[in-house]
This record gives sequence, structure tokens and C-alpha cells, in this order.
Amino acid sequence: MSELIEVKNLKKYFPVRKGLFGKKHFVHAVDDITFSIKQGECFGLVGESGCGKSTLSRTILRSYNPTEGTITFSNKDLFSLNKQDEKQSRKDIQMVFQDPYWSVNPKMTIGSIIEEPIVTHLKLTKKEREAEAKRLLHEVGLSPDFYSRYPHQLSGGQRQRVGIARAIALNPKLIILDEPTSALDMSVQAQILNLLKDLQRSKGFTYLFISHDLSVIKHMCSRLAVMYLGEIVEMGEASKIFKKPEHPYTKLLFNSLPTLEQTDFTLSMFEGEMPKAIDPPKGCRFASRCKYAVDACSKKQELFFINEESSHQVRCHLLK
Amino acid sequence: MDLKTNITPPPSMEKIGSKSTLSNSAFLAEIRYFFKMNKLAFLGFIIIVTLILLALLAPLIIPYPNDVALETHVENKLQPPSADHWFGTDELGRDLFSRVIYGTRVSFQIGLIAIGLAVLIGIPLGLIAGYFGRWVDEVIMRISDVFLSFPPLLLSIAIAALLGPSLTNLMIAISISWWPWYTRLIRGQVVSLRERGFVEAAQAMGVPSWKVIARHILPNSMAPVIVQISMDFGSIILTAASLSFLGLGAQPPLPEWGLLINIGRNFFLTNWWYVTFPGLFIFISVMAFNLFGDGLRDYLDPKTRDS
Repeated sequence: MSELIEVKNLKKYFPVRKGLFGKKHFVHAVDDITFSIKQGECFGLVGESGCGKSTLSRTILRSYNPTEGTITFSNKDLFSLNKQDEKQSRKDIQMVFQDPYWSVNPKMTIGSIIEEPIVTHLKLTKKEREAEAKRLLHEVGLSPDFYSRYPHQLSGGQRQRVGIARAIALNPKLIILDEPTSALDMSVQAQILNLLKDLQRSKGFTYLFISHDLSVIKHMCSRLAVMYLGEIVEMGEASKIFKKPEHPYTKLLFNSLPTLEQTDFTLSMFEGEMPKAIDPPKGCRFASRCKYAVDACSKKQELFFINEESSHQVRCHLLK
Repeated sequence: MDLKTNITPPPSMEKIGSKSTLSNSAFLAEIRYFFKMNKLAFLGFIIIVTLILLALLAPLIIPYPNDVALETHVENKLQPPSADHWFGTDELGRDLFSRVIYGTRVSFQIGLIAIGLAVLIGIPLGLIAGYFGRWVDEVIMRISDVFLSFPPLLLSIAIAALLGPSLTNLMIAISISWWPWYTRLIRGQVVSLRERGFVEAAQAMGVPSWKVIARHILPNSMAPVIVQISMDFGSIILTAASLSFLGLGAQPPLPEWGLLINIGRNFFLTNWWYVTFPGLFIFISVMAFNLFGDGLRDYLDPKTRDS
């Protein structure tokens, strides 16, 4: 399989100035991130809130310009496209948002919401557009009657289906799923996840699945990356990481998942808070909360492969 | 979950931003609910409708249409209110009822044009400032701050004095001192809307900026503007009357309320009706717009609703 998107050394810093003449500080929202997603796979991105997952997805969407680094999409650099390629890439990358109540315009009918990408990129007559929108509604498991309804007449799960229909309308190559189920109740979550899985199977979509919910990632993704404070701390095959997490942070994260076999419910908790992303520590960013921390942790550590043959990468001094 | 089930929330569940999307009968139910919750707003609404009808039909309903202009009947001057002249007559014998009613037309025309101009300047600037942010935002908002730093009445007086006294200049002066309020209001709305998923989705899929503004941002930021307009209409009528009273707006023989009071001032001690009736109309119309605007604001603000 070929790489659909390659993110290389991506950095996004936001400047913060304290006071009018204060020194400029930077929030290291995304710091030196490198990963790639293959055609047709579902790549998971896990991390606590505030770790930079959303900034990363917004940068791929080009809501932000990166401070440094490149993103190569379909063998083209996303940040130096000519006008036609730019338009094509806007068509090829779509997003499903977290909050179904905020992601659809309350003043537009479901039909015109789904038709918006079609109107923007394809030249179809009104009738063709309507037929297409109704086909998409069917595809995401909604009745075509929804075509002329308004968002407030729909439940959260139904709205999220509308959001998905809008995202798949142009048959994009990459769909970014930004916590698509975290605002929904459990029963609806499962339906949406199954819908996404079915769509991937039938259409061959590539997903970047962002979530803080590990069980969701386990269900959906073949590979995953764990982010902490703007950096990837562990990356590799989902099955391997779930079986044997290596990085202390990943271990803690996975231990906080209750299992059926568990009898002792005193979960190992995180101690302390995440350090501030403004001017973060130079060495390991997790050191302040890590119970295995040693002196070497104050030095910078790059991601490295655990052993030669596997694709399992980790960023920790203790595992070197 | 049965996907074909249509879940319609009760009217109180959906608040800001959904009014115009309701079906017709639900819309009527909302209106009934609004007036039931706000009896005073209903009173304001009735008065406003009456005044608008008076303004529209003035030439047809006033008993002495010619008295609006220069026709004089000096033999009837300064008559107290009677069956023939409900509000009495002025120093040239003209029927004050006809003139005051016609004044409604003048005042509403001033209000409509002045507010229309203010909105036409203020809303696009607010949209641009909020949407594009950065230095564009800085420049527009600092300019509007300069205008906001003067009390609107004082600024209107200064501009009207500068431009020279006429009805057109009066409307220009008022809209120049009012537009920054709309710019600021809209900008705040846009800044919060910009973070919404549907705006981001549209930008990400490559919808051009002007279309994002027109389709997604403008329709979702109009609710507070409508409240502001209904509140400002009263203040603008009052400001226009004040300027005309000072001689900076309407010129005789136009029966503008403020101007009528200015002339009536000379006869105040002996002929009470001359200033009373135009004053009463100013009072009633300003009050009606304030009541209606207050009600609308309470209705659209979820915090004060159902309390």
C-alpha cells in the first residue's frame, strides 16, 4: 500500500504575549510530529485533551499554516499547491466534527447542508444534486424524507450522520474524524462507528481517527499514535500497542481502561497535571508525571524503533 | 433506533437561531408564546403597528391635508382642542392633529432611513472585521471605537451642524453616529461563529469566503441585530426630534415632532396643546419601541427565558 499522506517534522506554535511589552512565549501545540497514513487504513490518534490532536487535524485541513514542517498529500506538498491542486485537495480531504450540534448550520435544510460540497466542487443541475443528496442520506442510514428538514428536528446521532454524509459527498481520499462519537450516547456511538466502518469497507476511505476513547480506537484502527503535549510518544500497530504498551504514558493510559476480568478497581491514576504547553520542558515531557523518571529524562529523546523488524516506535530513555 | 422517527422538540427547547427555520404553524406558536410571556412587549407591538399604519395612511386619514404645508388660516390661530381640531391649531391656524399625525410619517421615515444606513455601513464592516481578524479587525474596530467614544446625540449634533441643517443631513448625521454599535455587535457574533463546525467545514471544503459569510455567518448572527434595531428605532426618533428641536434637522413648514415642539415653545404658557401633543407622540413611540425591544431581548436570551 502506498502512503496517502505524510506528515514530516510538523510544528505549530502559537505566540502568546504577556502584557503589552511582555516577552513573546510560544504554545507548542504540535511539536515535531512525523507520521504517515497508508491508502485505505484507519490511523488512530490518541491523547488527553489539550495534547494537540485538534491542532494537528486543523493543520492538515489548512485552517492553520504550520510553523515548520511539511505535509505531503498524494505526493504533493499541501502548503505549496497551485490553484487547481488546492481546489482538488479541498475536495479530497474532508472532516467530521465532534459536536453534531455545532457542526451543521441551523439555518439550512439537511438537503442544502449535504449539497454544499457538491455545489462547491461539481457542476450538477439542481435535480441531480437533490438525487445525489438523497442517495447520500440513504448511504448514511437516513430516510430521504430528511432532505427538507432542519437540523433542530434531528437527534444528535442523526445530525452526526448528516455530518458524515457531507464529508463523504465528494468521495474524498482522506476523512479526518475528530472525536466523531464523543458527544453521543453509548448506543448511538456504536451505530455511528459501525456506519463509519461499513463505509470504509465499501468505499475504501482512509481515516484519520482522533479520539481520547481507547476502546473506540481499538475497535476502529489498524495503526495508532499516542500524543502527549504536542509530541508523539508511541506509534505502531494498534494490536501490538494494545497488547503490550511500552511507553510509561501509554501504559498508564491503557491501564485506566477498566476490563471485564478486573477485580481490583483502584485504577492507577495520573498524578499531577500536564505541564503547560507554553515553553514545555526540554527533555521528556512526561517526566514530571512519570514514576520511572530518572536523571536522563531531562535530555531530549527522539522517537526510535523498539527493534529492527517491527514498526513500533517509542520515545523514552528507559526503553533505549 | 428507528431512523424514520422524526423528533420534534417543543418550542422552548430550541432557542436562538431557529425561529425562521420553523414551519409555519410552529412559527405562529412561537409568536403566541412570545407575546404571552411578554405582555408589555405585546402592548409595544400594538402601538408600533398603529403608528406604522398612521404613518403609511397619513395623507388619507388626516382631516386637513393642506395644513401639512404652507396653507394658513390666521382667523383660526391657536384654537384649543375641539371637535373640529382635535389637537387644537397652531399660530397660523393649521390643524395640529393633521400635522402631528403627518409627523409620524416624517419620524418613521427618518428612523427607517437612518437605521438602514447605519446597518448598511455597520454590518459589512463588522462581518469583515470579525471574519478576517488580525490587522483588518484592529483597524476597523479602532475606527469604530473613535466614534463610540462620543455620546451619539452629541456626535449627531456636531455632524449635523457641520453638514448644515436639512432632513437628509440629519439622517446622515444619525447613521454616522450609530453604525459602530452594529459593527461591534456583529463582530462579536462572527468571532464566536467562526469557531463553529459548520463554518470550519465550509472553509475546509473550499467554499469561498464571501459565500461562507453570506450563507453561514450572516444568517446566524442576525438575532441580536434585530433586537438592537427595535431598541434603536426609539432612540433614533428621539435624537431626530432633538436635532430638529435645535434647528439642525427638519425645517419649517415640515411638521416634524421636534420642530413642532420648538415652535410651540413660544406659546407654551398660554397654549398648552401646542407642545403637548407632539411631545406625547414622541413619548409613546419611544416607549413602544423600548417595550418591544426589551421583550424581544428577553425572549432571545436563554438566561432570562422561562424564569
